[in-house]
Amino acid sequence: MNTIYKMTLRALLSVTLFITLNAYSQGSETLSKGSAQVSQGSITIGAGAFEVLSSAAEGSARFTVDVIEVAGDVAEITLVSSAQTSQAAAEITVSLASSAVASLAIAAGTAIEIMTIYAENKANILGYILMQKGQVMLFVSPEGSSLTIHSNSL
Amino acid sequence: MKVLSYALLFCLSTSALGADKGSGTGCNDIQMGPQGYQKAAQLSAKVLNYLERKHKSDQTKVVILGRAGSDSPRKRFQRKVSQYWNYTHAGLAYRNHPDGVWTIVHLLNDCAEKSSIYSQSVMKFFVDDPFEYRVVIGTPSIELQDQLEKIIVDRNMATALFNNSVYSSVSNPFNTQRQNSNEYILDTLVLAVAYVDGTTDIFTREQAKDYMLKNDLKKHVFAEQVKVKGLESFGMALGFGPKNATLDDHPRNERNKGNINMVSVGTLLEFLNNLGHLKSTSELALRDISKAQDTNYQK
Repeated sequence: MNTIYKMTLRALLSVTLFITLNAYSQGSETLSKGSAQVSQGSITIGAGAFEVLSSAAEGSARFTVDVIEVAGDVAEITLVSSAQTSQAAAEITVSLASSAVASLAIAAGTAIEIMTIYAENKANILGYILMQKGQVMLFVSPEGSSLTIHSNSL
Repeated sequence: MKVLSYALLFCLSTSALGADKGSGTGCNDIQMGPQGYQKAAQLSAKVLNYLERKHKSDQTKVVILGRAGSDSPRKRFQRKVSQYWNYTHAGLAYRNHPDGVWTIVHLLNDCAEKSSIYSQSVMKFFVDDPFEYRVVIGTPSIELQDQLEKIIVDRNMATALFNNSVYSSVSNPFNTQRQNSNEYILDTLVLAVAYVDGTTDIFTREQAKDYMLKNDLKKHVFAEQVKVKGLESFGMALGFGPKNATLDDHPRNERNKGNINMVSVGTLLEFLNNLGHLKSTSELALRDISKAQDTNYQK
């Protein structure tokens, strides 16, 4: 009985403290490590693939990794869509640091979902996210965009 | 009685897990989902457009960015300092930073008492599971912006103002025992104020704090007060508290009264305003400011 009472008191104290003090910084000044692992690259979208993406419901379409080519520090991933388009090739090329390929655990034949991110007013495209099994792997922004997701620990 | 105690214990354990989910201990992985990325990209685009317009119109090159990390201030902040009291976390954004245009330099809690200084893009600043997608932008006076740029960009002193400090989410702003994210920004602002005032021979966090106390700048720091009940204070003394918060850097009378002083985003903006160094403030938000619903919190 005494032990249970002590355990209950201890749990009560812990809970109160967690709720009170964690609340101050909850999600406000912590480093989200999972998101930090999401890499960034640049993207080239063929006309056919653009057609696939723009006609896809909710801006999201399925592609498959066709080729992964690593040359020194740079890797190039070619993704193809099986969706029918009026254009010849529904192909997307993503360039990124070769070190990122290993951390992404990406292999030829992997199914990748690509989602277009529009500005709030839908007037322009801000970027694309590449997802595997619903998990974001890569954020890519159009050439010349100032949207990046870099993070350096000083 | 025994059954009741077990039932209570079970309920408390469940609540504890809930409270810890995605909490500010910084030790757990948080993975943002597609919606989180979309909202972060949209707000970042809005902020970057605004900052570039501002730069073109009046050469703004350094601003304070405050984000709404949690809804806790509504319930916990007693003083609600400034109209921006409900922003929880601040960083300083530098247009001419070597890591990229509008790079944010700020302190983040890595895990428990460990924190680091990061330079991050604006989008990364928002890919951090904010409670609401809104931001306050405080523009310092031109002379303060010049000094902030000199300190962080030209002299690369970002880590000197951190000085391997020990983290506490409710750190005392008036000593150097602990440091949280907003106190790091306060220390940086104090150093810049000292430089504007002609004192340029201070280089560390400790010297900045010393300058603040010796030059009566403390009266301009309107600390936010968080209520900590006696039982909680007692529990923390016994080591039951969260890993990233402690009261051991606060004076006994503060702990006894249960009103704990800390720096909020409101404190920072009021500090600049009181010193005549706040040029303007603006708020930007998405039309749908609500939290992303697809964030994955990993234990």
